[in-house]
Amino acid sequence: MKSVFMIPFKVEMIKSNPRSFIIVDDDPAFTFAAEMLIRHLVPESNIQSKHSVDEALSALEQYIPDIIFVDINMPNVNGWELIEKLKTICPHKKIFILSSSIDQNDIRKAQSYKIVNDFISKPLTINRLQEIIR
Amino acid sequence: MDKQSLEYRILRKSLIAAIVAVSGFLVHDILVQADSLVLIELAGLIFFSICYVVVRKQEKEENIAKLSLLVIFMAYMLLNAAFYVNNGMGIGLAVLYISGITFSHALVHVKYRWYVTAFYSINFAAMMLVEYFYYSTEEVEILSATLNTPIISKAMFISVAIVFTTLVVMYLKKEYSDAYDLLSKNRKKLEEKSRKIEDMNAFLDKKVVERTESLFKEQDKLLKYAFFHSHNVRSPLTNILTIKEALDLPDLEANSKNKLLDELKEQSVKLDNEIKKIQHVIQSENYEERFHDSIQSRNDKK
Repeated sequence: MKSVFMIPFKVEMIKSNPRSFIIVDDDPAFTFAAEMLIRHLVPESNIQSKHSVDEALSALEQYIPDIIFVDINMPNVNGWELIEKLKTICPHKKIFILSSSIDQNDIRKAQSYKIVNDFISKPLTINRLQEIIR
Repeated sequence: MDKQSLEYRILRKSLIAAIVAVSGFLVHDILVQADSLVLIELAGLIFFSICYVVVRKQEKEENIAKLSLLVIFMAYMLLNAAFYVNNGMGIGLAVLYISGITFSHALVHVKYRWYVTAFYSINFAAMMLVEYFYYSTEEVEILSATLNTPIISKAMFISVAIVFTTLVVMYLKKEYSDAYDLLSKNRKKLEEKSRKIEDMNAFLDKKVVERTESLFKEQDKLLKYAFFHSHNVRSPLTNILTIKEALDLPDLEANSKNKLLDELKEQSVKLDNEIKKIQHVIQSENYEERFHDSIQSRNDKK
C-alpha cells in the first residue's frame, strides 16, 4: 500500500530535479571536481563550466540552466557584477554563490540579493550538493 | 594693573598723608613748648600712625599705602635733619636722620619689608636717646625759641615741607614708572613665550594626529594584506578538499581519478607557494624594519 502512494511522489521528484547546471569559476581544478560531484548525483545532467564572467554571459545568451553557481573572486569582472546582470537575465533561476571566502561581509552581501538562494563556502561536498539539488 | 592708576594712587595717597602730617607738624610745634623731647617724638609717632590709618582706609593695597606713608615720613625726617642743623643742634642727629632716609629708600626699591619698620623704630629710639642725653636744657630752650618765631616763618616751614614732599613723590613716581615699564616688558616676553609654547603644543597635537593616522593606515594595510593572503591560502586548500570529495566517489574511472590526482598535486604545490610567500613577507616586513624606516623618513623630512 505504501509503495503505491510513494510512486507518484517519486515521479514528481524526478521531474522537478534540476538537469542543467552552469559553474562560473576561474579555477579549472575546482570546476573539474565539482562537475564530477554533480554528475554523480545527477547522472544525465548538462553541466557547463565557464572560467570568466564574459564566457558565462555569452553561454547564458543561448541557454539558461536550472542552477547557476557563481564564484566571487575572479579576475577582471567579479561574481557580484555577474549577479547584478543575472537579475535581468534570469530572475527566477536558482543562483548559488560558491566561494572560498569566509568573510562575513561577503556572506551578508550575498543575503542582500533576493535572487541568490544561498552562499556556499568551499569546499563543495556531496552532502551540501544533495541539499541544493533536492 | 593700569600704569596711570598706579602712579595716580601713590601720588594721591602721599598728598593725603602729607596733609595729615603737616597738621601733625603744627601740633608738634605746640608740644615742643611743653619742653619734653620724649613726648614730642611719641607725638610724632602717633601722627604717623594716624597718617597710615587714613591712607590705609582709602587704599586697599597695603604696599601702596605703606609706600605713600614712607614718602611723607622721609620728607619729615629730612626736614627734621635740616631743622636741627640749622639750629646748631649738632650734625650727629642730622646724620642719623639722613642715614635712615637713605637706607629705607634703598629698601623700598626692593620691596616693602618688615625690617624697614624695625629700622625706623631703632632709628627713632636712637634719636630720642641722643636728644635726651646729649642736649642740654639750654639747647632745648634755643629750639623752643626758634619755634616761637612769628607765624610767617611757620608758614614757610610748612610750604617747604609740601614742596619737598611733592618732589619726593615725583621722584618715586618716576622710579615706579620705570619699574612698571620693566614689568610690562617682562610680561610681553612672557606672553610671547607662552604663545610660542601654545604654537608648539598645536604643532605637537598635529603631529600626534598625523602619526595616529599613519598608524591606522599601516594597520589597515596589514589587515588587507592578511585578508588577501588568507584568501589566497584558502583557495587551493578548498580546491584540495573538493577534489578529495570527488576522489571518494564510488565507481570512479581511472582516467578521471588520474586527472583528479594531478590536480591534487598541483593545488598542493599552489598552497605551499602561498605559504612560502607569506613567510617571505613576514620576514622582510618585520616590525623593526618598519620602525627603522619610519625613523629614517622622519629624519629625511627634517
